[in-house]
Amino acid sequence: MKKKRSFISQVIVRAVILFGLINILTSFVPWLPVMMNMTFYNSIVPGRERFPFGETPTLSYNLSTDNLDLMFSSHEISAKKKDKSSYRVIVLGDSSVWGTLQEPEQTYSAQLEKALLSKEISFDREIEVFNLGYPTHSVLKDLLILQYAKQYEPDLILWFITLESLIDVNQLNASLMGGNEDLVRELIAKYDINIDFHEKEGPALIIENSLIGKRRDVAEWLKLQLYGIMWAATGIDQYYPKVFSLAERDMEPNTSYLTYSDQLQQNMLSIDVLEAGLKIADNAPIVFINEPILVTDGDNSEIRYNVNYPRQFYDQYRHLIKDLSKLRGWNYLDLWNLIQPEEFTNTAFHITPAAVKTLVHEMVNPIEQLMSNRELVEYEPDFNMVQILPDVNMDSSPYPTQSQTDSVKETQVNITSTPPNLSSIDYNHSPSYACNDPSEWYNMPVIPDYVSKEMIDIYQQGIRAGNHPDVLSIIGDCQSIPKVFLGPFEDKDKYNLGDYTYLQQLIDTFSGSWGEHGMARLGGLSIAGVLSSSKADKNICEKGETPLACELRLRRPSIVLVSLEEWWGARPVSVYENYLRQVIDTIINSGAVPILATKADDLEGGNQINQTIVKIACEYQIPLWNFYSAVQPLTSHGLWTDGFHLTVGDFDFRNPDSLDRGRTIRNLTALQSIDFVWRVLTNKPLQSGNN
Amino acid sequence: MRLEVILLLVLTALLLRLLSKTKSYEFLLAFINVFILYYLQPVTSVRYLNFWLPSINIGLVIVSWLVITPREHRCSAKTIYFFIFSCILIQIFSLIRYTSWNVFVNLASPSFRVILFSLILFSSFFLFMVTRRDQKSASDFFFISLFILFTIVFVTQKSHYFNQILIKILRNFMGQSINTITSNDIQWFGLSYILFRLLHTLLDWKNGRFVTTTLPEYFNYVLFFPTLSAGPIDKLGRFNKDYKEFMINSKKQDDLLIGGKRIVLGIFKKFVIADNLALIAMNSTNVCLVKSTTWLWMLLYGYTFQLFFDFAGYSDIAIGIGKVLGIDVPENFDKPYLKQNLTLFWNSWHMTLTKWVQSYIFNPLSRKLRLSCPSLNPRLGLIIGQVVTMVFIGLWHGISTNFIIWGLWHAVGLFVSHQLTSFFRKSNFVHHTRGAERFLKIIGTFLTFNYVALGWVWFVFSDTLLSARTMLKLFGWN
Repeated sequence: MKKKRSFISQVIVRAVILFGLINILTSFVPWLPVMMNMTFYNSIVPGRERFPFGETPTLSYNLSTDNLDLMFSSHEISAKKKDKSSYRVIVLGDSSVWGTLQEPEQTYSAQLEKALLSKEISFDREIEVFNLGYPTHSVLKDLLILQYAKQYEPDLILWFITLESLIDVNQLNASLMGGNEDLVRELIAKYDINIDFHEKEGPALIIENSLIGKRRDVAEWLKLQLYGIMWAATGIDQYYPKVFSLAERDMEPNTSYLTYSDQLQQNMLSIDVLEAGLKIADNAPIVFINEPILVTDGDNSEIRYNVNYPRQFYDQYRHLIKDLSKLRGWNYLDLWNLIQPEEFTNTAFHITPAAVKTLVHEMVNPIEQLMSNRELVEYEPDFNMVQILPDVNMDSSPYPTQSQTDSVKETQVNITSTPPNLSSIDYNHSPSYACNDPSEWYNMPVIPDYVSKEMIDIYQQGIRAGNHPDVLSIIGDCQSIPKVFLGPFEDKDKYNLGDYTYLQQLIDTFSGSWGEHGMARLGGLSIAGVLSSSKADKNICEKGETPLACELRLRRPSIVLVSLEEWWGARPVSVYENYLRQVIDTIINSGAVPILATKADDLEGGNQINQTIVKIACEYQIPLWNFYSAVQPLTSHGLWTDGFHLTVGDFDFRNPDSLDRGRTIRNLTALQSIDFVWRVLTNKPLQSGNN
Repeated sequence: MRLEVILLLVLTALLLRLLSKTKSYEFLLAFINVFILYYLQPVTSVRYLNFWLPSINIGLVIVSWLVITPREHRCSAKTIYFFIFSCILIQIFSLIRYTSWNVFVNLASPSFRVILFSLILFSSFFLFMVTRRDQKSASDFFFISLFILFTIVFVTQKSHYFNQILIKILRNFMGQSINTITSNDIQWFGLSYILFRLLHTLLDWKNGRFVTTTLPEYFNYVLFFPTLSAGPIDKLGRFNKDYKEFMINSKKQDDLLIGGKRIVLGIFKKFVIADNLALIAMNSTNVCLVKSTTWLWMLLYGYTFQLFFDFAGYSDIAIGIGKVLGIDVPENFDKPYLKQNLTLFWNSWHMTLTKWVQSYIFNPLSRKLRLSCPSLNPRLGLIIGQVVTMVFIGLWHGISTNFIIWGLWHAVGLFVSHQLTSFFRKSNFVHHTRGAERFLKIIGTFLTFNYVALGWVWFVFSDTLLSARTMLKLFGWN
């Protein structure tokens, strides 16, 4: 009995007392932050490139935690204190920023850092871009992270937002909120944020902060350290399923959004959270970026952009944010429809790595300017940048009414199945009369009907010098990437020429060129970019070589199609003209024949770009493909409601519905234009019956 | 095994300890052993198998006892009562499916009639075996039959090929589709360790070393619940000694303390150390993802220590629970990674298995070789013995190329280690140079540890090519 008592008193009782003491002590001493900051990361193993988040820990070597100390201590941002020589950019947002289905080096932040570094901008500080995105839509969650991130002294904050993250009912949905209730309450109180967060029920229990109360945090801390070893060993921090469901393209005929069925009002958006963010950021500028969303063409796409957003609500949201940005002088970039539908993955927000590059291309110039705090010749020194889109009539349906269409001056468009007879070419035939009267530019034929003798001479000299008669280069932006422009003509199963079978000879001759990505055929590429060595692929092109020069050197094309539509509205068109002349000169000097193309949109107003293109075509006597005229008869002139992208169509030229779509007509008329020019250059007239 | 299951076993042991003085303690322990056997049997996709497999275990135990026990000890009232008790237990457990207890035990059992018929059949066989005369030829026949049966059972469990054949047969018999076969269709809880104990008693009996026991004693020895899932492998004589003493004498006061300490230590090793090391232990997924040789070594060491702490943890728990029940279950590990040669390693890693194979494979084989081939070079005899023994151990883990290679790896290692040890033992340099012995110990420990760790590369993967590639990658060849 004595021994039994001795065992109970010596062991069990002491153990219980010791355990109790430890818990009481830890309840009063702030031990948890200290422990969370004791980490293998940024010492034994490298810091993570994004916050820990893992729904399948054993496969992703990652786990989700609510503890902000733990999240940040494992992140590379806490590797070292910021010094004066570094320029820190932090990127906030949801899972699209965090990088669902993207490897760490493929995320917005990683690609942006790469792009900024590769621009070789004259910048006296080392640029670092940190991914502080975290899955779930909530700007309040972003604010919580921003508040914590302030200690890392960011110089620039890029804050990706969308309607889902701003809508008031979503603010408290993130699990991060529940795990940091006190901090959330503090933020709400301090910045007077209009969010109804429940009051804490009763005083905190002592045990909540004790070892036993925080056992979950301790377990997460331990696991995350061990997963850090796997992160270092494999570079894996996310599970990438081999197969996943694509975001829904077909939608229900439903115009409501969440619990709302009426108009979107400003008070439904947590704008005060954004304002709180501006206060927290203090001197560091914030750029709000409206993130790309999936714009589908499936069932009920006329009333919904995707499963998340009915058109009406989303358009109202954009309108509101745009107006607010102007009014309050916010830096704001609207990239909502930048990415093509095919580039979205499992949700209406997640995009492919290739699309990330497109996105970054779009962002990098304005961000570079903001970072440099300098004026560029072609840019107005205004750091309150607002990219203004054309005023879209929010009340209209996606397609204009018949009267609206009729009110547009229409050109007599003649897209025929057969080109003009080439059996006799009159080289003395003068170019189109429109060259003499700039105001008649839109009356230029859609398909060129004239190739000057100068161009034929240039072509023949180029062939003698080694240019390939069966290689065509395309210089263009997102409207010209192979997937949407000419690429499908590499595969007979992907197109049908219908009545235009004569184009098969052309297609066969230039096989390999249609799908070739090339050095200067890239989403986001502008006319300035084509002439900038920083845009060239450094792995392929020579040092200092521009994308255009690289393309011409590597591929030695005999014909070059030039379709560059992107331009900043704020820059004068004369600058565009200068760049275009440089492009044409470069092409002609290489012995290739350029074909210029007008564009369908008029974002700059007054069709100034198109007029410039026509002016250059006339001056140099270059063949012109007047695409603008081709789309005028089409529904909504072949354009999306953004006024820039073309309506989506396939490559079936038998289908009357497709022939009413901007993309289809673009492909058809491009082929016809190239075909005419090629036949004249190579003296390959169509035989009768070649139809 | 989950923590809550272990805590349940501990509570069960404590309860049994409280009731150890009761007259029916043997039957009570038997009931608990059978309950645990059914409780821990995983559910299988072959119909009713999770009932039949534990039932077959019980049948094998009873049949083995009947084979090895002389008639005068077989024909006793206790034997008959215990047998009836076992049948009633089986029937009770089969009826659980009709009660809400089924949630607890999760047993899918055949119909009452089928079980009753089987029990009647088995009882007939039991009666025959109890009353049969002890004839050498009959005994030999039963011994060989059992041996063959154990071998068949073992091979169908450990060999993927034969396992699939058996599953097809069973599925066909049960009218189930063979298109949905998986490799996990048959998971036989406790089989390996039950077979070891049965074989040990059979072989000892064959060699005339067997000490007669009662059926309850034998039953409780073979199916002793703390050691069913992961050993250690005890010997009948040693077990019975503690078992009888526990029932007769007063309980030792420090049993609880010692047992409790071992259980806590085992839980810590298994659930804190091993389960966390599992996050960074080498496996067939992460081995293909690792970027560099250094990290691959880290993963290998992670696996090396995870395996040890997992196994040692379970052994500590088994020893602790055994202690609570008054049984001094033998130790299984003695700091194996700190041993300076492979022989010492195998004398301190899964010691009960090593002793078992030494007693029943290595020693008899070596003896046989010496007697039948006196001119055989002793070194050759040694290596043959070591190869056979280690390959057997490998095959016991699974009948596959990798386990054979793993066995050979250790066989070769043991032979080389033995030769080196003999060499250094005779070396004057070692004896007369200060510090040489200590230096050799350190080097030996380092080399032994890494040799064993590298051996785990064959153990952890089922794909030989993957193991070979990993081995090359560990030495910088990608």
